[in-house]
Amino acid sequence: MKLTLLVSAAVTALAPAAFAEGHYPYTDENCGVTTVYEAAPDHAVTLSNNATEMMLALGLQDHMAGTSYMANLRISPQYEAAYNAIPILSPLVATTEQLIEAEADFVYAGYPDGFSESRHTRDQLHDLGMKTRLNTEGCNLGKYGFDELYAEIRSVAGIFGVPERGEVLIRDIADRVAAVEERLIGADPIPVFIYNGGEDTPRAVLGNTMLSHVVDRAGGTNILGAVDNRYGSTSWEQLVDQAPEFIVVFYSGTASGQVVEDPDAELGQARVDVLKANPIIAQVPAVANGNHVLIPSVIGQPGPSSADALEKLARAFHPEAFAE
Amino acid sequence: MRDARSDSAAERTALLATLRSPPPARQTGLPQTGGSGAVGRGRFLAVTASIVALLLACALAGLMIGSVSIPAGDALAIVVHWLSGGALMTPDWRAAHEIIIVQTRIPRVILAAVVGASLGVSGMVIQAIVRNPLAGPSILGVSSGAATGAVVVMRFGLVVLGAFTLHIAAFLGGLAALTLVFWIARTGGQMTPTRLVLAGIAMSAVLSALTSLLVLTSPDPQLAARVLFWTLGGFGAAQWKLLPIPVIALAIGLAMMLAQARRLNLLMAGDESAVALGLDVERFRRTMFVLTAALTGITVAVSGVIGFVGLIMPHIVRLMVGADHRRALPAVALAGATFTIAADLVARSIISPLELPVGIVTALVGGPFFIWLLRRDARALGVAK
Amino acid sequence: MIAPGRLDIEGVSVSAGEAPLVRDVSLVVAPGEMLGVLGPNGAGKSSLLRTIYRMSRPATGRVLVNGEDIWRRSATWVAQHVGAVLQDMPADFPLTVRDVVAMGRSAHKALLEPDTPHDAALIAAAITLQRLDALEHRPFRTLSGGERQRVLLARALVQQPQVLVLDEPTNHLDIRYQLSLLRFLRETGVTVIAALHDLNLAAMFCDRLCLMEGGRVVAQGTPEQVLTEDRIAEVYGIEALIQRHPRSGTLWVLPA
Repeated sequence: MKLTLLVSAAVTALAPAAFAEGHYPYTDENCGVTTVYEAAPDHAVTLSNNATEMMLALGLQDHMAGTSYMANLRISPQYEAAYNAIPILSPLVATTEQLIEAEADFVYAGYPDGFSESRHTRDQLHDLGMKTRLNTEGCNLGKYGFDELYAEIRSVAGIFGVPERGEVLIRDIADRVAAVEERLIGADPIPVFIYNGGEDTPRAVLGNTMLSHVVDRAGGTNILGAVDNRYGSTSWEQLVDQAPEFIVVFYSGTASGQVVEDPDAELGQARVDVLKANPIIAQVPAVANGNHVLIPSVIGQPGPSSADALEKLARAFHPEAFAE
Repeated sequence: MRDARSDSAAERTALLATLRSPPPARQTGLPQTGGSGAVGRGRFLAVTASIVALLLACALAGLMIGSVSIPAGDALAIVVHWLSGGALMTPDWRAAHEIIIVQTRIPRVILAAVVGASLGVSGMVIQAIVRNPLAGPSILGVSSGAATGAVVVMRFGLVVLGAFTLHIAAFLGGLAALTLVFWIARTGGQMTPTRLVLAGIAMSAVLSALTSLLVLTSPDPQLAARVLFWTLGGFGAAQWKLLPIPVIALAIGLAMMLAQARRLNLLMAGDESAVALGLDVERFRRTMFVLTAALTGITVAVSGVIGFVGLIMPHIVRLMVGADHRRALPAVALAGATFTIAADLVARSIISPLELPVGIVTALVGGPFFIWLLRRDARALGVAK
Repeated sequence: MIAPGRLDIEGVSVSAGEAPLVRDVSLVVAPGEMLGVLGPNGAGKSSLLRTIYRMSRPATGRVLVNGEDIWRRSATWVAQHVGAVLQDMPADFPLTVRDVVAMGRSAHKALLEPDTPHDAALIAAAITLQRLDALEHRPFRTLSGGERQRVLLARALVQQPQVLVLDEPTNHLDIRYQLSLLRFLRETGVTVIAALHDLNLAAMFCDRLCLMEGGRVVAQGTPEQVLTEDRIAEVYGIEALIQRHPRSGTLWVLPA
C-alpha cells in the first residue's frame, strides 16, 4: 500500500502533464499538511497579494470567491481587470467569519501570517470544510529561489487540475530569467542592502527569502545573504562597514481601509526619506549616490511577479547591460 | 444607644451565656451565602443580578457583532433556533450566517466567558494565598511557563500527543514554572508570601526572555506569527471541540475553591492568626496553589496570556460585594466572564478590520475604571488611607 | 467557653536555629485560672505562647489541653479549644469588622457547612460585648489600634475557646480599656494565659504569675510569691518598692 502511494506520487511529480484524465484525486503535501482534492475548488479565497497573483496568473479567476490582504498596494497591471471582478473581502487577512460568508472551500495564504492561532489555524478551517495551502516559502528552512517557486506553481496548478497552464507559466518565467542572466554575463555583482524599514535600527531582508535570491540573480549580492534566516534587525554601522552600492527598499502595505493612490510614492518613499535623513549612513555609496530601488511586497514576495522584480532590479543594478 | 445599654450587668451576663452556649441539636440553618458584612444580603443579590444581566447583554452583543455584518433580526433568530435545538424558528437566513454564529461566535463568546471566569477566580484565590492584592495569575510565573511550554513545542516541532500537544505542553509548562517558584521561595522550610511573589516575578522575567530568544533564533517563518498569539492572547482559535476541557476545569476548580471559601477568608488574617484559627496554613497554601496553577495553565493553553483580568477583577468585585470569599468568588467568576466577553468584543470591532489583542483592551478599559472605584471608595470612608 | 479548660506545659523548649528561645518551661494553668506571663523583652514570652496555639512545635516537651497533646490532635481541634489574641493583623483586604469576627467560627464548621442562626447569635454577642456595634460594618483597616484589639478579642470569643491565649493585649489600649479588658477576661471564667508588661495590672487581675528571663521560668506562683524586690531588681534591673494598693489590697510595684 505504502509502496503504491510512493510510486504514484513519484510519477505524479515527474510527469504532471500526462495526467489530464484521472487527474483527481490529487494529493497535496504542503507544509506538514496533506490534503486530498477530489475536484478543483471553485470558491477559493486568497490571503495575500502574491497568492492572489498566483491564482490570476494561472487564469483561475472563475474559481475564486474572494481576495484579501492587498493592504492598499496595487495589483500588477496585467491582472487588474480580473482582480477587480472578484470580491475584495478585506485589506488585511480575511477573518474566519469572512471566509465562511464567502463560502470558501479553498484558502491560500502566500505568507505565514495568514494562518495562526490568533486568526485561524489550518486545522480550524479544515473543520469548517475549507481546504488550505500555505506558500512553501512560509515553512521553508534554508534558501528559497525560482526552483522552489516553480514547484509552488506546479502544486497550485495541480490542485486546480490545470497542470498544463502551470508549465506555460513556468516556461514564461524561466525564459525571462534566462534573458536577464544572458544580459548580465560578465557583469560584476554589486553589494546590495535590502531594507525593510526601521529608524533606530534597520530591519533587513536576509538570505532565506525569495527577494534575496532575486537580488542575487539580478546581478547583486545581498550583504546579509549569508544569514540563515528570513528577516531580522541589524545596525546602521553594518551598512557603513559593508558599504553597499545599492539599497533595495522593500515595503508592504498599510492596514487602513483606504486605497493608496500611488503606493511607491507614498509608502515606499517614506522609507527612502528615512534613509536619506540618517547621518550615520550618509557616506555609504548607495545613499550618497541616491541608488534606491523600490520593491513593494506584491512583487517582492514569491509569486509570478517575481520575474518583474528580477527585471526591475537588474535594470537598476546594471543599466549598461540593458542599454539598447 | 446600644453601647450604654450593654453596660448593664444583666445584659452582659446574658451575652456571656450566649457565648457559652453549644449549638442546638437540630440546626435549621438558613444557608446564608456569607456574613452580612458591609453589604447586606439584599444588596448582594442586587449586585449579582446586575452582573448577570450585564453578562447576558454582552454575550448577546458578542453574538451579533463581528467582522461580517449579520442583520440583528437574523442573528437573534439563529440563536433562538440553535438554543431550541432546531425546534423554534424556520431558517430563512443564509446558511453561511448560521455557520458563522454557531461555529465561530457562540464558541468564542463561551470561551471568553470561561477564560474570564477562570482568570478572575484564580486571581482572587492567589491574592488570598500570597496575602497581597498586587498578585495575579501571572505573578507566580504560571502564565509565562505556559507560554514557554507552547513555544518550545512549536519551535522544535514536537507532536507527541496529537492535536492537543500544544495545550498539554502549555499546561505542563505552567505547572513546571510554579514548582520551580515554590522551590525557589522555600526558605528554612517556610514559604513566605513575599518570597513567593518575588520568585514568581523573577521566573516570569526569565521565561519571557527565553521565549523571545527561541523566537528570534528560529529560522521557521511561521513561529513568530504563532507565538504572538500566546504572548498577547486571543480567542480567534475558539472552536466547539476546544471548549470541554476549559469548561470542566472551571466547574471543578470553582467548586473546589468555593468549598474552601471559609479557609481562604482565614488566610487573609495573617499566617499566625490563621493557624490560631485552626488552619494548616502550609498545606492549604500548597493545595490552593496547585489548583490555581492548573486552572491558569489550562486557560493560557487555550487562549494565550491575557493579563489584567485576574489582577484587577478581584479588587473591583471586593469593592462591590466585600471580601468574604463565599460571596466574592461566585461574583468574580461572573464579573470576569462579563468583562472578558466585552473586552473581546471591543478588541475585534473597534478598529475593524484590524483586531487588537485582547490583553491591550483589558488593560486600557479596566485600569481607569479601577482608579475611579478606588477614589470613590476612599471618599466614602472619609479616610485617605 | 463552654467549660474552662486545663493547660499543661511540660518541659517545653523552643529554639530558632542555634539560639534557644524557651528553655525547659513547665507550667500548669488550672481551669478558670488566669495566669500572667511577665518578663523583660526577649525573655521568651511570645515564643512560649506560640507553642500553645500550635504555631511553633517545641523541640522538647509537650503542651496539653485538657490532657491532650496538641500535636497529636488536628489544628482544627486545637482551634476549637484554644483561642488566641495576637499582636496585629495585616490589613490589605477590605474586610469588615464583622467579617473578621466571623472568622472565629471556622474551626467549628465542617467544610461545606453554612452559617447558622447560632453562629450569627455568637457573633452578635461578641460584637456587643466588645462595644463594636457602631463599627460592625466598618472596614477593619480603618480602625485604631485599640479598636482592632477589641475586634480580635471578639474573634477569639466566638471560637468558644476553653483556653484563651493573649500576647500583650493591653499594648494599644488606653487605661480605661486596659482595665475593662482584664476585668472582662475574669468575667468570662475562661482559662487565661496572657503575656503582660504592666506588673501592677498583672498583680491586680491574675490569679498566678510566671516570671521569665532568658527563656527560663525564674519564678511562678501568686503575685506575692513572684514579685519581690530582689527578684524585680534581678530580672528588670531596677530598684522597686513593693506596696499594697490602698483600695484593692493587691500588690503594687513602685519604682524607687
